Amino acid sequence: MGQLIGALAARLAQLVAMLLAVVLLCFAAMQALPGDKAVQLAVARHGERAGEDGIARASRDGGFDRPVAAQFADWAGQVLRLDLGHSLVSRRPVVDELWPRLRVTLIAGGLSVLLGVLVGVPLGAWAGLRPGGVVDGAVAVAAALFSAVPAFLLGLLLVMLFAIRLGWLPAAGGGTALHWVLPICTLAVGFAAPLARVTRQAVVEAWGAFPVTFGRLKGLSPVRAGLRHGVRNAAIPVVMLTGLRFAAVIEGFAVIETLFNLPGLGDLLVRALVSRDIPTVQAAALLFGLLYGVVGLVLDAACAAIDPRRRLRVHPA
Amino acid sequence: MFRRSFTFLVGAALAGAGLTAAPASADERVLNVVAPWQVTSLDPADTGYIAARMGIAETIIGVEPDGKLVGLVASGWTLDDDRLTWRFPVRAGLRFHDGTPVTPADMIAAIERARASGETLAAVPIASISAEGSTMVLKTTTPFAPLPAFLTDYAAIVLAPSARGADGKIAAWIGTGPYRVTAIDGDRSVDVAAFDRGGAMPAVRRARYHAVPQGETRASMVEAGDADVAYTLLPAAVPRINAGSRAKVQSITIPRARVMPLNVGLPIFADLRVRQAINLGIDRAGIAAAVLRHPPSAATQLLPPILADWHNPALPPYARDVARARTLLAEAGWKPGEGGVLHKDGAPLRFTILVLANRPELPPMAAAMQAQLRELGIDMQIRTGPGSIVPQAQRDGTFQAGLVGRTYVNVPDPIATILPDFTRDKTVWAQSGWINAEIRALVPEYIASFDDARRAALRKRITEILHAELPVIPVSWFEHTVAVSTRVKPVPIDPYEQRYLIDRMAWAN
Repeated sequence: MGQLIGALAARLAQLVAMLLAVVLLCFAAMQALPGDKAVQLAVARHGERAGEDGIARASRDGGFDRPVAAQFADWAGQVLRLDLGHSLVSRRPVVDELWPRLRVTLIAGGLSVLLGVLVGVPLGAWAGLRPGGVVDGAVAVAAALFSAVPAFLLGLLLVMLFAIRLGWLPAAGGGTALHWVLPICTLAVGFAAPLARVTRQAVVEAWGAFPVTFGRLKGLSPVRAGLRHGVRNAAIPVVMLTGLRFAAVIEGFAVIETLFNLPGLGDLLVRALVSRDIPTVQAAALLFGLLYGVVGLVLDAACAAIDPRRRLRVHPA
Repeated sequence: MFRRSFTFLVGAALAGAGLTAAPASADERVLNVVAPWQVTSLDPADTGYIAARMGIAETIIGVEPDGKLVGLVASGWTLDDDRLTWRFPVRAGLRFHDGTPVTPADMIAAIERARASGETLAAVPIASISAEGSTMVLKTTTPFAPLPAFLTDYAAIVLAPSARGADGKIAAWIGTGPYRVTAIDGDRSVDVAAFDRGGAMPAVRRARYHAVPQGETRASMVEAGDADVAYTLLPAAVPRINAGSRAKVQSITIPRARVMPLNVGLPIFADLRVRQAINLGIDRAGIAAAVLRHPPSAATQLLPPILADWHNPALPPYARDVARARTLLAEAGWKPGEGGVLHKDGAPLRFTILVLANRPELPPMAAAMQAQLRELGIDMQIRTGPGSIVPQAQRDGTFQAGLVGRTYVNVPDPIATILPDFTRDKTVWAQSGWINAEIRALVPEYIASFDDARRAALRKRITEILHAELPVIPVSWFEHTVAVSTRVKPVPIDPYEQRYLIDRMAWAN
């Protein structure tokens, strides 16, 4: 128990250190970006109507004319008070900007990961159980094809087929459940393809490994031997890939969001970077760091639960 | 049938996540309006045009598609004999969407808010604004004839006092227009419903504004039948949409121009002959046909014919003349040099043009111009960048040339754009270093003049000077493309882009 608390405390300390590093790096990166921030903010606000007055106002609002140290002290102080400030473009609290988009990203990303797992794992396992067979060949070809097709191209093809040609689904936008189908499917296919390949390989290796062979020598059926001695070993890379994918979707999928007009975090971050909306960029970076850390913790815990050897390696007695 | 079943299944799957909207009742059709501009904030100085276009909020004065100024929140206007005192009575019985009556104080608040934002109305020399009964009285320090036109500025949409939040900033769009806001979903959509203003209700009772920045996505939505009216389409998408059965594209030329502002302070551009040569080297007809796919967009002068008062048919139209361009360059002392580029005093005829990437047609236009100017021996380097690339270069002094879209109807009188672009030492989007004493005298005189004949003469002279001096080189006018679903009758298009006129639209069946 003491070991567990110690390990947890160590990981939390790592997380805090990482967040601190993210804060510092992000602030430094924003300061280092080229260009006049006031001009970029004014253009983001007013477009081609941005004039000298608008630029001066943007400079005041953003505090760009103040010393860098003072800007950082202000922001760090806000963060410590759990206040992420206001967006310089929308003038709304950054939290109000982030939350709806985080919700969109987590739900679309989460459902796409779930769908990818539901498709990729069974297909990969089926192929791995009969290596060299027809299913294995078909899965290999499909996985290679869909891994190679860029997400935006796949999305466009799906739009052309299901929205424009068949008229079954909306091309983009929001408001109904149907609007979520194409972006989720686009992301899911892009994930299911590599997942099927990893699953297939993991199953081939696990089923050919000594524990499963030994189980069969003991008289267990191939299925029972595999389920008892192979699944845990095969699950590790699948869980790792799924976790990494989920971590990746946290930061948004800007291309898919743009293509389907989905208001997620990726779109917000790109727009905030272009407009030099520093409070939004910094808050988003902090959020990403936090979520990445949490996902990492969950992933480690999941792997440790699946594979007892990892617990022993992490905490040697 | 499939779509309904699919909706049910997917709806059931996502309902728990709260991702589904309440289904619309069958008799409440929603007009889906798609346009590129996101509702980045509710500040009228930023996005008041969306509120105005959707018919949510109105300005004090408006403009009809034929260019005629009309009262919106004000019933009209009068000018006292002193030429300084303007009176704008509130339209009788006008109420905000929250039910409160509109007062002159609301108009005053709108003007003061817009002036504080430093936009167009800041140019008006206001001495005082006050209320007299139900009339707003505005006095200027000097005669300012285009004042009614300036009051069409969207930054000055009139909003109810309850539209302000606790911090005094605009927190809601509670206006006087034919539609009231029913929901705003982040920066992507605004739902509106017809507002009973006492007269006949609009045929379209409900509408939704979708902000879709990506041009290809807007086109896909039109092709899929998800958009009833879609504004600002990519030229390449127009034939595709017209080839389908779900929508047709309407197109008109509007008072915007794609122009090439120059830093006339640079030695190469200080010579008028070089500016003229560049102007003669551009094949506008080819660009309009091949890149824009809208031949009428080829600019023959700065302002298009739809601005009847300002378009000057007497001006010789711009046209490509390579031989004349070469002659001008030779007269200016430019001689063939290394790499086919003209040289003078050992320096090449080379400059960098900054191209805004946020308008997807501009980079290919710049590429075409680059090839055309190369034939003359002019080496035009292209640098694309975000919308801030030009104002940033203007500020840091590195600006040489640009390719930008410029509207001449922020308000319905182009003088509001000509004033900052051609009479000030420092500009943001226009030329740099061009000081023309005559223009600087003519523009204030035009603003102060109430004599129609004199104003016409001043307009003529101003356009002549800009046409001849070329501080900015017009390349094309803008084509306003609107895809209209077959579910909707052909829609009126406002060339001034002030309103979508949804209240004048009707369903086809």
